[in-house]
Parts: sequence; structure tokens; C-alpha cells
Amino acid sequence: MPDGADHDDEVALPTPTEPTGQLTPIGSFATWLRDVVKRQPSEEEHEAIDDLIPQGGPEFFEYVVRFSLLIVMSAAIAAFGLLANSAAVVIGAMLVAPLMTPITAAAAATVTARNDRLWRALAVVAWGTALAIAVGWVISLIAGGSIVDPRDIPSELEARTFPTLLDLGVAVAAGAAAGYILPRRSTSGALPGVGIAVALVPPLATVGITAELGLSTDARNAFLLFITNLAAIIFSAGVALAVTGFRPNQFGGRRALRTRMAITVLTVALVAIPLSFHTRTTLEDLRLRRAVSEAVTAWDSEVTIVELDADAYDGRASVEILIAGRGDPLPAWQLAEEIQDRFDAAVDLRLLYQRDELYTVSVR
Amino acid sequence: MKLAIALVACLVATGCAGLDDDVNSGRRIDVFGPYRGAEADAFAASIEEFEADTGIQVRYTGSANFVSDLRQRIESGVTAPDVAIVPQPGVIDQLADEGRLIAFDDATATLVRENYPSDLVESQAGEAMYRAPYRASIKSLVWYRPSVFDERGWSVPATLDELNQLVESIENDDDPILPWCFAIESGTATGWAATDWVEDLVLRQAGADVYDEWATGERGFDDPVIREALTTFDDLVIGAGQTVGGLRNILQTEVSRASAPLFADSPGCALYKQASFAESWFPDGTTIGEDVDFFVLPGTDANEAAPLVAGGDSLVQFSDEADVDLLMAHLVSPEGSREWARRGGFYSAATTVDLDAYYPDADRQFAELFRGGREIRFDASDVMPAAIGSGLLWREITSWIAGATTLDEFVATMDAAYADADTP
Repeated sequence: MPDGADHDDEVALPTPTEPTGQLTPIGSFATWLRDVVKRQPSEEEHEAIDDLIPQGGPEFFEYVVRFSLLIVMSAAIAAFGLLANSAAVVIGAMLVAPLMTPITAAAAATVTARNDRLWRALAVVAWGTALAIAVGWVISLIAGGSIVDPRDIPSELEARTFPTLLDLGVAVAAGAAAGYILPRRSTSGALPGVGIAVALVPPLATVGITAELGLSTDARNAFLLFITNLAAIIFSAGVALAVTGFRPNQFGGRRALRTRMAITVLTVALVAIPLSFHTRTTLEDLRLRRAVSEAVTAWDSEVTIVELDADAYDGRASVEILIAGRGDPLPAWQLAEEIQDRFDAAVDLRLLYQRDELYTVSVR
Repeated sequence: MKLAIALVACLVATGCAGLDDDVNSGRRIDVFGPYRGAEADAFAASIEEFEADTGIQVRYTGSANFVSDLRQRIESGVTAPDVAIVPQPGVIDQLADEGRLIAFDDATATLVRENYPSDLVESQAGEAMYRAPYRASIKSLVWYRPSVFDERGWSVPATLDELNQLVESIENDDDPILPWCFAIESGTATGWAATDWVEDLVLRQAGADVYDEWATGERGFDDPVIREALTTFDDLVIGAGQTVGGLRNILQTEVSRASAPLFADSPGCALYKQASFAESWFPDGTTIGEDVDFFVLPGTDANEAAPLVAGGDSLVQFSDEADVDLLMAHLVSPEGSREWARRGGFYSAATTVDLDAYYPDADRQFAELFRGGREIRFDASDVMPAAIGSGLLWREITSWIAGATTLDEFVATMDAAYADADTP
């Protein structure tokens, strides 16, 4: 594989010390890193990438059948695990999930600027996405009867309905790991770790379940989590592959690479917008929770918080709290004012008081 | 405008020269009341301009347990509010008797006399003024959805008998729709929504004179007409199959959430009797007159306009600081409620308010009802001595509805409490 830079007559090659400004910052960085690393992928590494998805013919058909079966099974495991609120089962589903292969194949095709492979990989991803959502929907129809109120949603499900910038960070790091691991068969034992770190099928199962339950906002957010993971993996796996020497091998491929990478960067930037709103909301909620805990202690040091539901939005705080204590409860208005002193926003408080008393009696 | 009020207050008040020293002492004024949620937002919005103009900070706190919390705040001594908004005249009378209230300064008293009809303030004329009317409400309204009535061919009843017939038709309707939406849970004030119902029935079945005797304690609960009203209420609303969710829902659902089934796509109830202030509990975007409408709970005679049971929240003052005087002057003026009135859900008995300019359409209808010459009586339980009307009655009517006590036990407990109160 020739080094694309030697044949590129369209763009002046930047030297490591003098960036020309003609490449994107990421391009400049990759070029610099490549010159430092000065390596070319081996034949075996190329094969490992090329073999991710078979190229046409009966082999591709067999691959799609295998892929579909694995998607159905992993989405079913994920959906049941989510409804049963079992983290272990959901992790099991991540290990069965086959989506990482076509996504990293898409990243590789992006870097090597091979359109046919890119479209094929993206088509497989789209098919898997639709299939996993459909499985989530059907499982929810069968087994989601226990959820009659949005408040009954299991925490495993809920955790996938509010992605933040942290999820983007995880997906970027895991995508880079995937990009590094994939060409190296010797490191492939680490791949399941990537699949667990950046789950793809559970968010899709969540989309199906929440859509079936009529929770459209949750479904949208779970899909946002999936798109975040998808875009971040293609982006960072692509960067990792580019840095380790994978390049377009045709004439004019450099520009094609830049265009493709620009599109992935743009996609990541786009998903980062709602994610940063979510992150801000999460931080506000955390600040409110801290304020409520402090306020409860200041209000009555004898009571303990049993359950706390605190939402900060639009310059106001909505707090639902269940507390336990031995004595008579102090007036709730005092607690609401203590919260306002600390959070400085309009406060709506619902306070439930549970006496910390247990009576056990046996009569024979 | 607020500044103008502040200046008027200052000019009328004695010791005005101290404006710079006394006003805006930097301490935050505490206002305590029963408004929560959207109503609390509306009240807070009504004092925003005052805060901006004067630099005085006001904190409003609203509690579902308003009466018991207010009592606790006052008795503790350290947490008494500066101003309170009290819906129960009985509670105010008691606080005044105990010497807990501060008489209004001249500026506030003058504004009250200028803005409100004399019968609302005359009982206080010539002596120190302790309370000012703020928000008024009409309790005797029955809410319904015109589209639901049209689809099923139901019409608004003109008499109590017709209402009974309508309730029967609703029960016999093929759809799973029940006559009433009704719930009474309201913290330590649970039961007030039921007393409102009974008061309306007493006023209609027994007339205004009997109602007055009952409200002032001259006529007891163990009286045929009061028993008749309680029995009618039981048959019409509490009985099995009359109310969405049955007894459990009546007792456990918060008053402000009772109307939800009325607005469901497949409505759970056809009728919802609740005061004018219920409009702030309706789903966002509800248009009164289109999505939902109301009629006055009918009387016994179709040829006479049915009387109204009215409620009203009054302002009282617990602190005589200059900042607090300024806030009171603002609150009793039309400016003190303009923002709330603009948002809807506020009606004031002030006569200086131009209905067309001041209120949205629905609230103007309430105002017109008020000024329409009907017989109007204040909420009887709120007029009764606080210990009876704003506590015992709420608890006892709840026990009776729950089936924990019989009607005989209920009325006997109420009359015994009156007897105890009369015994020195």
C-alpha cells in the first residue's frame, strides 16, 4: 500500500513543524502523528479490515443471515434484561450483539475511501437498527405489561433515556479502541470490552420498548444515545485507523477522506448539542439534589431521606421526597424555604413522611 | 405605578420622612398563603414589579396545610410571616381576638375603602382595619364539556330535580362515563371540597336565612334541613357508581387533580363541581367556553336565579415594619393583582376595576355573576369558628364520607363541639 501522501498532487504536504492550515486540525494532527509513527499497515492488518464484511455473493448473504439472527437474539436478551432490570443480562446482550462489526467496517471504508464498502456497511447497520428496535417493540408488547405508569420504568431502561456528554466521551474512547484492535488479530480478545463500554443493541431495544409504551421522548433520547455511539465510533475508529496508517489507495482519495471525516466530525458535533443540554440538566439536578440533602439536614437532623426525586428545569425546582424519622414531622414549608435558600429558584415540594417504626407480632 | 403607590402610601402614612431609613431595611418580607404551583407563580408575578420598583425582597411560601402551618408559625413566635393570605374569615376573627394581627396603616386602609364595596369593609369601619379582601371565588359552579353533552344529547339542568335526572341519564349511558369527578384530599385541610358541596345544597334547599343561622352556629348540624343536605350530597355524589374511582379516589386524590378524568379523550366523568379557581388546575391550553364550560349549580325553582356560595382570601398583616406597610398598600390596590388577573384565574371584589380592561373572558363571566344581583353567601365553614369550620368539620365530614362514622355520629360530634365552645 503506497503512502497516499507521496502521490497527492492536490494538497501541499504539511511538514510536521509547519502546518499549512489547508487540512482540518484533525487532519493536521493525523498527518503529524503519521509522520512521527511512520508505519504502514501490514498485509494481515489490511485483510483483517477487509474481512469484516464479505464482499457480495453468497458469502454476503450468509453473513446477513448470521448477523440478523444475532441481532434478534441480542435485542431479545437486551429487552428482557431491561424489563427485568438486570444489568448482568443486558451486558450479556452486549456480548452477543454483532453491530460493532459493520460499524467499524464503515469506519474502515471511510478511511480507505471505498464507497461500495461504506454503503454496504451502512446498509447492514440500518437493517440491524430497524431489526433491534422491532424486537424491542415486540418484547415490550409481550412482557411490558407490568409497566403501567412512566414512573414504573426500570432503572436499567431509564439509564438509556438521557444520554449526556459522558456517553459521547465513552463512545469516542471505545471507538478509538475498536479502531486500534480490529486490524490486529492478536488483540481481538479485547474487542468484547469495547462492545460492553459502548453498548449499541440495548439503546435500540430501549427505543423499541419505550416507543411501544408510548413514551416518545424517552424513545427519542434512547435513539439519540444510539446515534451518538454510532457517530462517535465511526469517527474515532476512523481516526485510529488513519493514524495507524490506513489510507485511501486511489487517486484523489485524500480529498475523499477529508470530506468523509468532515461529515463524521459534523455528525458528532450535531449530537453533542442535545447532549450538552442534557449534561447541563444533569449538573443542575445534581446541584439541586445536594441542596435538598443539605436542606433536610438543616431542617431536621433527626430524619433520613428514604427517596428523593429532584428535577431542576426552567429556573425552578420540583422536589418529591420521602423521609423517615421517629418524632412528629416538622412543617414542610420550612423545608421548602431551606431548599430555596440553597438553590435559589422557585421550589415545588411534595413531602411524604414515613415513620421509622416497625411492628412485628406473632400470636399462637 | 408601584412607586406612585409607595409614594401615596408614604404621603398618607405618618412618619413619612423616614422613607429612606425605614423603607427597604434589607430584610426579606415573608408572605404565607394557601396558593401553590401555578397559583403561587401567579401571585409571585403580581409582586415582581413591586420588588423591582422598591428594591424590597418578598418571599411567598404556600402550603397545603395552610391553616395548621399558620397557627404553628404564629405560636412559635420566631417564624411568624409578615403577611398572610387567609381564606377563612373564622381564622382571621380568631387571630384578631388573640391580638395577633397588626392594624393597617392609613395608606392601606384608605386604599381598601377606595377600592372595595362598603359592605365588604364596613364591619371594620370606624375601628382599626385588620383585613383586606384579595382574591374572590365562586364555589357554586359545575364544569362540563359542551362537546360531551352535545354528543349524548344532554342539556344543562335548570333545577336540582333536573340535575338528578341528568345524573340518572349519565349513569344509564352505554359509555363507561360516570356523573361526577370529585376528590377531597388536601393535606390537613382534607374535606373542604365536601363542605363546599354541602353548603351549596343547604343554601338551595333551605334558603339564605337558614344558611346564615347555620353558618353562625345558631342552627346546629342535627337539624332536619342540614341532614337533608347531607343526605342529598350522599345520594347524588358519594353513592356507589356516582363518582369516578369510587370512594378510594374521593379520599386519596388531591383536590387539584380531581378534574383529570373530565378532560380524558374518553371522559371518565361528565360533571365536575368546583369553584372558579379550578380553572388554574385544568390542563394547559384549555379554553373556557370551548373545551370546557360551566353552569351555576341550579336551585329548586327554575324561575329564580340560583344563589351563589362565594369564597374569598383576605390579606392580614403580622408586622408593622414600613416595608411591610408598602407591600400591603401594593397588594390591596388593583395593581397588586393585575398580573395574576392577566394570566387568568383571579377575580377581585374591587369595584374600581374595569371588567373589560382587566380580566380575560372567563374571569369576566365570574365577575358578571358576582355583580349580577344574585343572592351571595360566604362559604359557611370558613365563617364558622376556626376550630370548628377549619378543622373539625373537615375531619368529620371526611370520616363520614369514608364510612368510619354514621350521619348521626357526625352531626352529634359537630353539635357537641359547638356546645363545648359555648361553655366558658
